Amino acid sequence: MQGLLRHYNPVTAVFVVLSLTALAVSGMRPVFVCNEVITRFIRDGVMVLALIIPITAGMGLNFAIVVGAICAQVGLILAVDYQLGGLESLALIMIVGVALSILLGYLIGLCLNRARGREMITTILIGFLATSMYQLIFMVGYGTIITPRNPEMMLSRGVGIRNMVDLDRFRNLLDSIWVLRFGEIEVPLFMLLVVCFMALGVNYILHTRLGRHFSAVGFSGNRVEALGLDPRLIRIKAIILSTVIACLGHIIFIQNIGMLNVYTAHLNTDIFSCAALLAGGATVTRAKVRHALFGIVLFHTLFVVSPQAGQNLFGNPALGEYFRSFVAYGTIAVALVLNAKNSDKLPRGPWK
Amino acid sequence: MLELRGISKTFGPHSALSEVSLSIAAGEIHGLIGLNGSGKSTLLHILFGSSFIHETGGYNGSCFLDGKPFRFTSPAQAIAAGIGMVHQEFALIPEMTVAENILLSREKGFALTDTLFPRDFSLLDPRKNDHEARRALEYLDLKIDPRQKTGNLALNIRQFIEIAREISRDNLRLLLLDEPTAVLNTADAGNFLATLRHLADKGVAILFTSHRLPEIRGLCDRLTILREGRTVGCCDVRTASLGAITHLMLRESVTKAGRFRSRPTDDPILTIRDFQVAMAGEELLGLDLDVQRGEILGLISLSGHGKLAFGAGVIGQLPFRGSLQLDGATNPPSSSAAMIARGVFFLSEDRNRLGLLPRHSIMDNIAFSALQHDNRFLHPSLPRCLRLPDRRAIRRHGERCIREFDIRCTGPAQPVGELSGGNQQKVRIAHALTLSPRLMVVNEPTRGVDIAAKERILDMFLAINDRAGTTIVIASSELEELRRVCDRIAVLYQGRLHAILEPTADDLLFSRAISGKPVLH
Repeated sequence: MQGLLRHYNPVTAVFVVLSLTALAVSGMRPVFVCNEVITRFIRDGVMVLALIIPITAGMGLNFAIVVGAICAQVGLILAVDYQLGGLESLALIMIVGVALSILLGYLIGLCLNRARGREMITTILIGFLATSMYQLIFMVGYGTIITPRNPEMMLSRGVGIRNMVDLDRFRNLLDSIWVLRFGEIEVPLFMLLVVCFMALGVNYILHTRLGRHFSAVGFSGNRVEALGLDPRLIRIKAIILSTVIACLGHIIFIQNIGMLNVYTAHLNTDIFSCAALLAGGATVTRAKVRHALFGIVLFHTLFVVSPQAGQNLFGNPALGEYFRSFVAYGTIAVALVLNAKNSDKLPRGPWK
Repeated sequence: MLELRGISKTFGPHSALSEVSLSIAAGEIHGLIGLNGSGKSTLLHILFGSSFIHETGGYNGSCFLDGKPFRFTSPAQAIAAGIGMVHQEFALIPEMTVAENILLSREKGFALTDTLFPRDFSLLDPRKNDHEARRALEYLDLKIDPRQKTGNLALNIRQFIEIAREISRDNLRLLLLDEPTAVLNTADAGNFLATLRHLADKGVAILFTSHRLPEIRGLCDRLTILREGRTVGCCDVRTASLGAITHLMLRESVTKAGRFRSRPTDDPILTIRDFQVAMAGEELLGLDLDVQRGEILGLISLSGHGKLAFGAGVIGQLPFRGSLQLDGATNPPSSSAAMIARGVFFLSEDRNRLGLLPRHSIMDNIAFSALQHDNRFLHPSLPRCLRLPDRRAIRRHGERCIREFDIRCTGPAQPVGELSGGNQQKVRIAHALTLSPRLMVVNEPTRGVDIAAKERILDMFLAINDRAGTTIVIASSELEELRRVCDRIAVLYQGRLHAILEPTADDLLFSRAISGKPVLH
C-alpha cells in the first residue's frame, strides 16, 4: 500500500476513474469490451514498449517511432508489390523493415545528438519530415522513377499507390495461431505471448550492461564520458532499438487490421502510444515495462467505450470521438506539465 | 613509467600550459602543486584524454607510457590503458546506487548470458556487483551499504566512493588525483593517504595534486611545482624545505590574515534551541547556540557531526525542528528568499551545485540577489514598474568587486564557470556582501582554494566584520584558520554542541573537544 502511494500518479488515477465511469455510462457488455481490449492490447502493445528505452536514456518521449512504423509499411508495400504472401514473406518483411529501421534509427540518433535537451520536439519534427518524404516517394515516385510490378495497387492514372492496399495474404496471419475461447472471450494466445515476450525483452535489455549505460546517460548526460562511456554512441543505440521495436510493433498492427492505409496508417501511432504509456504511470523521465502494459489496457478501455458513452450521455457518438483525441493529447500535455513541475524542485537531499 | 615532454596547451589566446615536462616511475607518488589556475587540472585532463581538451584544439608535446607514445582522444582509451582519474568536481551519478556507480562500465553479468549474448546484452548479476562494490569499499575502510543512492550521501563519503571506483579497476597502473583531499577533513584525509601509500607499494604510479603542502610533503616521493603553466621546479620531497617550495609556488611570500580585536557583546542576533536538521550524513540532533551580534563564530567538528547542517537549516534550505530566534522574532518563515530579506545569507560548501550561475558573467552573479531581492541596480531613469536592470551600474559594481577582492579574470563579463575554484569562491563572497547581510553563514569557505586565495578570503571576512559589523558564522574543518579569524569557536559532537572554546585555547584542548572528550573550563 505504501509503495502504491509513493508511486501515486495523478494521470493514472484520472484514467482509472474515467474508464470506469465511461464503462458504466456506455452500458456495453464487459465481455465485448474485454475482447476489444485484448485485440488492441496485441495491436498496439509492442509500439508502446518501443518508447521505454529512449526515456531511460534521458531522451524523453520518442515521437520518431513513426519512422519505425514507416519502415514497416515500406516492407509491406514491397511485399505486396512483389505479390508475396504467407508466413515466410512476413519474416522477409520483418527483415527488410528492421534493416531499414536500423539505418534510419542511426540517422535519427545522429540528429538527436546535435539537439541535446530538445529531443522531444526534434523527434516530433523528424516524424513529420519522414512522413512527407515517405508520402512523396509512394505518391509520386512509384510509377515514375520506380516501376511497379503489381498494377493492382496503383492508382488508375499509373502514378502513385492507392490509398488503401488490401493485405488479404497477411490478414490475421499471426492472430489466428493458438486461439483459445473462454465462453465469448477470444484469446489469441500466440500473439499475447509475442507481446509478453517483447515486454520481457525490453525489461531484459534494461537490466543488461547496455541498460545500465542507458540509465547512466539518462541521469547524468555527457558527464558519463569521464567514466569511459561514450554518451553519443549509447544514445544512438537507444534510438536504434526503439525504432526497430516500433517497426516490429507496426507490422503486428497492420497484419491485425488487414488493410494498409498507405498514407495515414502510421500517423497517430506516436501520439496514442505516448498517451497509453503515460496513462500507465510513466513520466517523461521514468518509464517501466509495467507502465506500458497497464497503460495500454487502461487507455484502450477508455478508447473502446467512449463513443458509446458519448452516445448515451449526449445522444451523439461524435462527441465520444472528439473525446478520444482530447484524452490522447490531454494526457501528454498533463504529463509534460507535471514533469516540468517536478524538475523545478531544488536538490534537497533525501527529504524531498 | 610515464613521461611527458614539452606539453603545451592553449585555450584560445590564453595559454594554460607551456613546455611542461614530467616523469613518474612505477610505484611512485608524484605531487603536482601550484596555485589555482596554474594548470594542474589541465595537465591531468590531457593525460586522461578528456573531450574538452580535444575539442579546444588538442595540445602540443608528447606523452609516453612505458616508452610508447600515446595521445588519447577520449577517457575510454585512457581507462583501457590503465589510467584512472578522480575528478575534483565529482563524476558520480546521484540517482544511482553506490554499487552501480563504482562498477559503471565494468558491471558483472551472469556467466550464462555472458557466453550466450554479446557483452552489452548480458544480464547483470546484482549479487556479484554488490560483492565487488563491498570489496572496493572495504579496501578504503568505508562501512556503507552499496545499495544506497549516492545522491543522499555526504560530500566526503561521495569523494571516497569516487576514489573506490578508480582504485578497484584491475588494470589500474596510473592514478590521477585532482584535489582528492579538498573535501575531506584531516582524519579522513589521513586515512585516505595511507590507502594511497598502500596502492603505490603495489606498483601503481600516482600523480597527486593538492593545495595542502604538509600533506604533499608527508606523502609524495617527488614533486613538481607549476606556476602560470610552467614547470618552475621538480625536486625530491625529503631535500626541499617548505619555505623553498612555497616560494617557488608563489614567488611573493604570503602574509597571513589574523584577528586584530574581538568584540565581546551579549546581544544575540540568532538564538537556536534544540535545533534539528536532517541532512544526510551531517545530522544536527539538537543544537543550542547563541550567535552574538558582530562576532565571528567558528563551527568545527569531524565530518558527519553536523557543522554543515547549521547553515542549511538556518537559511531554510532544509527543514528544521526546534526553535530559531532571529533578532527577537521566533521561528520566522524559513525559506531562502524570506531569510535573505531578513539579512541572513548562506554560502554552502557545494559551490558547483548551489550558489553560482556558471554560465552567467561575474558581474551578473555578483549583482544577482541584490537585483532580485532588494530591487537594486534597477535603471534609474525608467519607472519602477519596467524594472530593467541598469547594466552600467552592475558593471561598475562588478569591476569594483574584482579590484577589491582581487578576482583573477579577464573582466567582469567573463562567465563564472571559467574561473578557478578560489576565484569562484571570491565571486560568491562578493555576491553575498553586495546584499550587505547582517548575518552570514559560510560553510568550508577555503575548501579547494589555494594558499593565496585562502588568505585573501579570510582577509575579506575580517574586513567586512570590522567595517560593516556583519556577524559571520564559519563552519570549517580547518582549525588553524578558524583560530586566526574567530572570536569564539563552537565544537560540535554527534549533532550537538560539545563546547565553546576561545581561539587561543591550546591544541590539546581542541583535539579533546573535537573527539568528544569532556573539556574542563
